[in-house]
Amino acid sequence: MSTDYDRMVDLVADFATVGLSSSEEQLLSDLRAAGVTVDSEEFEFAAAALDRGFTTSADSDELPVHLRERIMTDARAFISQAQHPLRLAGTEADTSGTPDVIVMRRNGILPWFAAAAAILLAAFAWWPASEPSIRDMVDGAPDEQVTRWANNDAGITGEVHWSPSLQNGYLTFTGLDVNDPESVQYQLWIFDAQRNPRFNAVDGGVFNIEQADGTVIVPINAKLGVADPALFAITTEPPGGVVKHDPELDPERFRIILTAEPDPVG
Amino acid sequence: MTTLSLTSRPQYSIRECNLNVSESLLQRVAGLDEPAMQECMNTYGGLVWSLARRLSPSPTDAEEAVQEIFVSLWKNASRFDPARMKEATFVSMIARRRLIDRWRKIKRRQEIPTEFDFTDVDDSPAPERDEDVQRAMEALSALSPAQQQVLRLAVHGGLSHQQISERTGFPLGTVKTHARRGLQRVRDTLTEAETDATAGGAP
Repeated sequence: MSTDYDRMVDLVADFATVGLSSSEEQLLSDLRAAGVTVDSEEFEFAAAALDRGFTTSADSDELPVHLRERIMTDARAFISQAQHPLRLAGTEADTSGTPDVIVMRRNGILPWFAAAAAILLAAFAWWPASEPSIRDMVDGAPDEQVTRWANNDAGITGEVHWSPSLQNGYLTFTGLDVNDPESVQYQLWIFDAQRNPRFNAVDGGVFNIEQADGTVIVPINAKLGVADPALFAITTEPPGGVVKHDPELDPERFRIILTAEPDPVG
Repeated sequence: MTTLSLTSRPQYSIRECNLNVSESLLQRVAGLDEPAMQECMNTYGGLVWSLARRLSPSPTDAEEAVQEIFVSLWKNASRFDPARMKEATFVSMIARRRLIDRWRKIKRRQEIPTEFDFTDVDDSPAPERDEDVQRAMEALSALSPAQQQVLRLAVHGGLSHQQISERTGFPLGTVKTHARRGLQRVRDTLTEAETDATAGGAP
């Protein structure tokens, strides 16, 4: 008879080899919440060591030059972002006043990453205007760029606030529909003029809208550095978001909702 | 030669001791050292690039994946523990985590990408193998041929359980059991080695 521990072992082994479906992820989360513990990193370690063992010399190749340049652009953006520690509403950092101790290493999450995770969490809630937040940081940045959402049939209004130096920003919406996270989620895309013109969208994060009334503020969670934002777009996507928006997947459910085109800088 | 007894050993503060400990590359990366990030890219770029090309649906997707992997690596660099695993294994682990996540999202909409041949076995000599790889491959060699085949297709080929079943003719349940129990055996071997090293290395 399979115990919860055995099911957990099966799930983390699958996680390390073939990945989990949404329902399996939920089951894993439920088991963790129930106190069942298996170190998933040990299985990832085993898979990584095996993968290296299976690799032959013929598999190895040097990074293309243009990709190396992009990685170093990302590195500089990462350093810049990390040197402007974010103070997030509703986190321990706000109460302690020491953002560098949000989460200890014991939990396997370094402080910077915890800040990013907290940004995602914050996207699920209303943003308390009176507390220090990313909004305060971005609004205080000398290079803040503000772009309105383009006119749309749904009457949605709002703005994109972005700071190139902070590599961070936030979105505001009024009139954006509440979504069912089990069925569909909103995803932000940032088109960078300095990337490949055909494949230049940077994933700006997935978020939900939980209340229809008033103005909702959502932090941007750009996965990569953005040198020159040329277009911001909001799409609806399957839960968890996608790597590429597919307009033919289900045009009724998954589509472009909003765009905002900043004025060219300089 | 002068031999100092324990009682005559000078006392150093932790800070002083740390000054004498050379930092690993990833520890320097965790300190937001841009030259270290460049060195990290130079050292592990080929490893990450080969993983991304193998487990991505297209070259363009592989390039995006590589960028995301390096960002993830910088975020996670402070978690690297040299006592637990080799740096290259840590980099590979972070890369695989990111790639599996991207791949899972893609698979929601389409079947496994076919632009790259994931499973052709190459006869080229293997790169230099460190202890992590040696132990993992020793553990693998103790498994049945069927388990080895399933693990190779899952871990290195990037195939789903269903695809492995179709390719090998094994029932789906057997594939899952082979992959899970096989990986568990490798995990056990590696963690035992880690425990032994920790116990043996203790002062």
